[in-house]
Amino acid sequence: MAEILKRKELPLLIIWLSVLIVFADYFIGGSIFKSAFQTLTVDWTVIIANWAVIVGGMAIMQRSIVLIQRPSTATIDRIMQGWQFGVATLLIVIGVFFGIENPTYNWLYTYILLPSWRTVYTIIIFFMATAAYRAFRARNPPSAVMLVCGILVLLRNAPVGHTIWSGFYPIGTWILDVVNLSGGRAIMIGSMIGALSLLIKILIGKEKILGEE
Amino acid sequence: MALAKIGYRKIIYLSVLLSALIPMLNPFGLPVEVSTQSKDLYNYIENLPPGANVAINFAGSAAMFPDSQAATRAVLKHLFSRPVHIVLWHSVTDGPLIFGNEMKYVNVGNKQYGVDYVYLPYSGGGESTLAAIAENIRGVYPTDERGTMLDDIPLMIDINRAEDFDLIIVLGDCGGATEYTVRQWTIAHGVPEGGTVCSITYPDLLPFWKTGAIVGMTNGVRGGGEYELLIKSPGPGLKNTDVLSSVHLLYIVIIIIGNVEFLWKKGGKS
Repeated sequence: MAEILKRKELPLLIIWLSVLIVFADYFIGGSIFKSAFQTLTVDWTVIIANWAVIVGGMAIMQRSIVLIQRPSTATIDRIMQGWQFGVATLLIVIGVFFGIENPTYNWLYTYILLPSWRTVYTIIIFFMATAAYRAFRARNPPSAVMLVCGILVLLRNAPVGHTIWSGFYPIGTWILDVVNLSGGRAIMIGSMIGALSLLIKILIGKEKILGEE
Repeated sequence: MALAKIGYRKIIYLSVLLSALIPMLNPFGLPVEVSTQSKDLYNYIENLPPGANVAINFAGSAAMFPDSQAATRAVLKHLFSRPVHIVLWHSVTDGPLIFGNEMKYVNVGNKQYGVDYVYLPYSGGGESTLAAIAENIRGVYPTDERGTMLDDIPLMIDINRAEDFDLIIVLGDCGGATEYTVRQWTIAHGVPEGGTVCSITYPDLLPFWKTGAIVGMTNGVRGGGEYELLIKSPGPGLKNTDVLSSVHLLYIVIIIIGNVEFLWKKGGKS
């Protein structure tokens, strides 16, 4: 049994079936394909996705335990992992047994988790500023064009741009709606063609897939 | 140049901090030009017929939500002031808590839970789950957030698939939700889409707005300020646009200094 599961034909067969059902629903339609598509998306995908969230949480906690127990782990790392494990356990216990409406859960989320996440994200503006100073330079004509476009879009996005000169807004909007749009469309179409070619490679067994040794 | 010698990082960090703090404590009140995309979203919601069904995919997660928070709150205020029915679900784990905090600022008026609006819980799965909701809501959510069977909720009696909605709005999206809603709801089922998105995803979504797949959307903090102007309810969005202005101006100054230094060095070498 284990040998069969290790072979690449089984996952390939599952991929073929899933792709055929989804494609058939889009291009052919009909009640058989519709009900097969619904079973695939409504039942299987939702169940797998929600279990994946639980498995993901368990994997993170398992990793913390392994790191704490490992003799080579530094004391500070052990403390950090222990702290992370403790907070996660506390949140899970309160969330599962008392619900997310519980004041303690709400407090932990609103006053510890929320500010921590937001702080990590906000710190980026400082790095962006130093990166802009070091890297955003007109080294050659294309980068000079990008620099000018970037500044114009910055001035379009900031209300102060309109106060300095009313022309910044329409110029910045033109760059966004015309220049960016045409480039965006090209990238979008290109990435979709790339995704299709990847799918074909997977279907004909040319791409390494799950289960393959 | 001189900046590098005295530790340019320290000076830049301090400048960024000050440029964000000063307008936060003392807003300038600079005028905000309302973009066509924000106006389009406002007009579309404003022109929805009474009794129209609006689906909301709440995709705001904690880290990035501040960027689209003001717009999300303003759109929620607008929707709850209109005679429309609202069915909302969450596509991110922390959605229910963030949404709960936002609703403290929204006046639901005479609307009744179960009759005019319904909240569904979080479900993982991203795009696949959204496709599943479009086919059969009860298959994904047999009950609402409070555990009531959907068949026992008056509003949900005639609602079970994408075609039962007049509009879907993705709130607080910062990565993918708006785009896959176009694929799974707008293209597949013909439901128009609107959204409040972060500035980083906004340029990627413009092609969809241009083709009409997205009827309108707001752009980050600025979009929040614009929407607050449209619904005539000033709030954090308009206040934060001043921060946006000063930090953006500082970035431009930093870029200019960097380039002057670069050209100076280049001239010296040649």
